[in-house]
Amino acid sequence: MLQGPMRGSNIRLIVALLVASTLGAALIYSTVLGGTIAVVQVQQILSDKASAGDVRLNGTVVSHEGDASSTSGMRIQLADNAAYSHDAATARKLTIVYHGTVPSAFRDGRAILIDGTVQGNSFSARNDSLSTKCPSKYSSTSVAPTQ
Amino acid sequence: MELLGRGALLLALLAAVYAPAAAIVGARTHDQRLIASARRALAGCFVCVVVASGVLVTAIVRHDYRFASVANHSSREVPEPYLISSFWSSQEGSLLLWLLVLSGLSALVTYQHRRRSRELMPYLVAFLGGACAFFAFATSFVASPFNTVAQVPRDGAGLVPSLQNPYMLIHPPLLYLGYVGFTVPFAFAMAALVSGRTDGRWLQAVRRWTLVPWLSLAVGMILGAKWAYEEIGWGGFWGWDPVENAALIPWLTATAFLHSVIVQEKKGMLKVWNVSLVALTYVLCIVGTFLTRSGFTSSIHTFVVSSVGWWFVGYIAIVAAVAIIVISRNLDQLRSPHRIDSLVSREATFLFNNLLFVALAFAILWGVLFPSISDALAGHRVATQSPYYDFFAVVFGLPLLLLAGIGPVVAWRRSSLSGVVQAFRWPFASALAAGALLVLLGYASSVPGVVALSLCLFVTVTIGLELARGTAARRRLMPGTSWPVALAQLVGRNRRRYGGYVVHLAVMIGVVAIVGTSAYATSRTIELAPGQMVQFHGYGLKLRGIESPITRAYISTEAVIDVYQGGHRVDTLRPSARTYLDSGEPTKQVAIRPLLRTGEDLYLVFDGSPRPGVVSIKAFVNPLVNLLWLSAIVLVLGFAIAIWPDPRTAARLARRTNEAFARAR
Amino acid sequence: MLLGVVVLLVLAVVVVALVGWPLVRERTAETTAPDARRLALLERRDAALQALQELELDHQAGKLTDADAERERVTLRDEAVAALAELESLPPEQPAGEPVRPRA
Repeated sequence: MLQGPMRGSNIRLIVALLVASTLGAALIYSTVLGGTIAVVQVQQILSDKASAGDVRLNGTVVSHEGDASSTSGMRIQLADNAAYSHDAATARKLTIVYHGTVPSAFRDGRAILIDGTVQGNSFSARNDSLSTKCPSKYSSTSVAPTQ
Repeated sequence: MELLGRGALLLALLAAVYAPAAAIVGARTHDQRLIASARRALAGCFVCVVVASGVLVTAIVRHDYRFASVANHSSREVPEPYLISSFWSSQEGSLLLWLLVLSGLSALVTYQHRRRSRELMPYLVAFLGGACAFFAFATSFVASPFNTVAQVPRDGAGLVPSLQNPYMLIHPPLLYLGYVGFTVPFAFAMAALVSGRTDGRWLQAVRRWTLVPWLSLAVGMILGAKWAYEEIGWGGFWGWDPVENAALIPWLTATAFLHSVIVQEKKGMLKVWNVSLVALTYVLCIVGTFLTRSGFTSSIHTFVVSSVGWWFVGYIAIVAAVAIIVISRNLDQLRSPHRIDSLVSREATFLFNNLLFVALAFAILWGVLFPSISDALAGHRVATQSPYYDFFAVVFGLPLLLLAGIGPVVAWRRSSLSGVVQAFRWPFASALAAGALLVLLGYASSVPGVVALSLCLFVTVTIGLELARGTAARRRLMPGTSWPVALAQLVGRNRRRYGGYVVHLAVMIGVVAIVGTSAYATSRTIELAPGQMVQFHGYGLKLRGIESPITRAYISTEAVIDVYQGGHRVDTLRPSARTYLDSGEPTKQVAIRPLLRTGEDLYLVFDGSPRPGVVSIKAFVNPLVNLLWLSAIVLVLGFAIAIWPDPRTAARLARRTNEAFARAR
Repeated sequence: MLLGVVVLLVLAVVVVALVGWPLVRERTAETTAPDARRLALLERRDAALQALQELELDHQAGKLTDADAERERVTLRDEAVAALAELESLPPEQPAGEPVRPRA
């Protein structure tokens, strides 16, 4: 693309190098430098299959009590998403204690994401890390179609 | 009603399938009647979709809960203005909205161009008709808005209260206009290549039809950000969620195209690159809508793993394959006789800017897809966090800001280095001074923030000087003309260029807002007892009391907080927590006090009651955030200037086409 | 139910009429498309002429030195002249077909 001092192949080389270095930086950042966080389900922690360390826990709120802004925090009973949707009453529960901001859409029966640390088969939540998944955007919430 | 809705969609499908078939046969047999019939089939498709949409709207307004999509996304308690948004709240309704916009645009475009793009018309109809056929098929057989329920409920499930917001009336239709709108430039590009008519006419059409969806996506994203800021209550407005990124990624590639198409128009270069960008933008729109419907990605939004996702995968594969085949088979039409002569030229600047836009788009796309790829390949689910996206936004965004200032100053083909250095004296000096001042004032906590704000001033000064020099040159050409008149004439004679500069100014305003809030916002969790005042960032916050208003729709707990500045009460804010009675849905109502002088917001969120009578408030001060909403207005102004028809350009194009026209014997 | 059936039938008739109307007309003589080669050369000519105008504006605004401006002027004039020469070497054009109206 360049004539004179720089030949056409040089600009293509620059373009290829830029693309490759972008992808390389993206790969390195996302896998090595901590651009990502492991997402675990409640079942993995309950069955001791989650690796120790910082994770993002995904589960469904069965019940909650207390105030997250108080010193004792909010106690949340979390169930595995799959187990909850199969049978909410019998799903095994993980109890976590949370301090910090509670998102506006938080309620029982809603899926949440919360950051924290796994230690064995328990979970220590990080303050102000709770986010609630918005109600299902493109699915039937209560009335199933027949056809 | 069900029969009418389903029947109308089926008719739409038949018309959409007929259109490309008749168009291709008409092109092969040179039968203008078939081509006209095919074009009208697109109009017929639109009429049918309007009828189907009318059936759904009627069902919503009349609370007809026989339809599952109505039963699950509306109720009698939803206020009437927001009932209409139930249309697009469901998977099925949103697909119908897509088809409505697509068929309407297809009918409009083919009607507008029925005379001036005769050679393109069969292929334009074919590509648009193919897209309509896919969405008509999806709404007829895969996700029908007219699926019924076994037992009709007394009332619907309602609309999530946080969606009952004026921005939610505008945001989704704007985004759809954006996503769907990119079908048109894609169809034009493919039709031009297949028909061998890659002259200036298709380029002008493609540029016009890219600007409209580009603006729709931009304003749609800003309105979505405003909704999130006012409704979600986390103090921010952008979370790099896959749903947000799905709109940003094609917007970035479309922005790249809008710059590089100028190079093609002026210099006849980057033809392959441009047609590839147009195709890529459309594919990314479909990828984006696939991501938001398929359950493929992990998001703050929950999605059902729906069968419609697999149909979208098939459609993406077909569109991508068609684009690759058409472009690669017509490369000889896209060869350019010209080359970039110098790195210090506007062509080179636009090329570098394009590379940065596309690199940023792919970096964001990788962040969205990586968790699913990691899960599929290694069984290890991860989530991409904000720092990843922030990193690339800085790495690619800062050079883009720099190029936004350089581009207007360098000339086409070649600028002299001394001339460029001369032109950048004042902008660079201003940027350096701004940077030094920010450091002195204590804003060095964020180095990228200081650099970004300095570059914004660099670009603004550059644009200002461009306008001044251009106006001065105009006055020299026409002595006696006043400065305002000369400026108006300057802008009027080159609306695209100066409209583009206004758009750049809008972007600078937006960047300043984003930097202000992301780099310099402060927040604190404050406990307040009645009568107690706490100082926060120049504001005194005093709890007057707690109130519990009850309405027909909700019960609420409000913290009544008096705001003091300089010892005087300046406002009373009422952050609250509500529970809606029909759905049991909780929400938080954020209380915001904007300060127009500085563009900052005092933003209060009710965070519960740790002890009786005491409230916990999360308080934020978000500097400059209101500039983001202002930038949307300036963006629309710049767009209007850029797209305003210039009779001289149209006359030039028509004269050229007429000169080349020949009548068959 | 009956109303829905009636509306659907009317809709079908409207669509069929809309789509079928051009087919019942007599086939007309096809207008020849613009000569692609001529159009490309005219675009080259117009692009060069417009670039000359912008060059003057950029020069007056101080973006180019006098030497650079003169060099560019010569290059662009050569391009315009070359395009015009190629246009003149094409076979004479046929009588113009249906004129295109300017539509901005």
